[in-house]
Amino acid sequence: MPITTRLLRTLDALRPAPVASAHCDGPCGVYDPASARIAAEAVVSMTKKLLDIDMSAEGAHNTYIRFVAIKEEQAELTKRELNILWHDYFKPEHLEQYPDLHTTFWNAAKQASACKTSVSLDAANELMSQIEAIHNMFWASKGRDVPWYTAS
Amino acid sequence: MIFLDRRHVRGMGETMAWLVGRRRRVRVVGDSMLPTLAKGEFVLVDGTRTPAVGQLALARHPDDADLLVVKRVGAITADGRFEVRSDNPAAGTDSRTWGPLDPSAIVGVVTLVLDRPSSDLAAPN
Repeated sequence: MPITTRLLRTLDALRPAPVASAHCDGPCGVYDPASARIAAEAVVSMTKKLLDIDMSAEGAHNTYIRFVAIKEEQAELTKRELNILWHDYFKPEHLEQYPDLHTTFWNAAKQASACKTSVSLDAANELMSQIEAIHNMFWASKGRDVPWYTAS
Repeated sequence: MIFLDRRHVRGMGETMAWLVGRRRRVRVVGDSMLPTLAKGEFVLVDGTRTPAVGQLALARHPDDADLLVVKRVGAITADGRFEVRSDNPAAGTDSRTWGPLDPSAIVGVVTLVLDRPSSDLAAPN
């Protein structure tokens, strides 16, 4: 690290400079529960495929492990997308309008975890219905009537 | 004999201006101004000047006055507003989303990257 940079880092630790944003995770303003819904639909799809695998078929174990890995990844992505809505889109003033906002997101995130620890279609469908509730809450908060739909 | 090109001389002048309190020091976060500015770098801002087309501007975000953004001025509209752009458009939002910025949103002109005092702030090719 050049000496000028090192000096600046030290100076910044003593007297932090204001920050100028050159990125998009600031208020780009583009939020849509569709991102969480698509990831959750992938969880539903992989759960169905896992339940349908004939474990006596050749290569079944490899297929099973691949599908579990995809389910795990998509459930994690669902949690991340939910968190972005929860932390970045929803503001304290929304709590007056939706007093159960925190519980709704908390339960949905926990449901995504339940989909990781099981191969349960009931758990995956429950995740979808919780995301549908978030979809309705999100679009109502923007005063828009966006009907719920799924890709599959 | 030490040879200094214009950029080094300007760099020293800007650093002096900062040391006497005539420039603001600001830290950059994010990737939208790559390759000109990298995250974590420090820039100096002259708050007494208005940016010209092609220069880097420090501005207040139109939807959040507490958030400062650094962007390049792509054009100035007939009514004096600033079209600002990201050097790395894939990683940033700018006037493509916000529309042109009012002059009141402009905080100043970026004059120097402190970490690289001889750096060139011209638009990348």
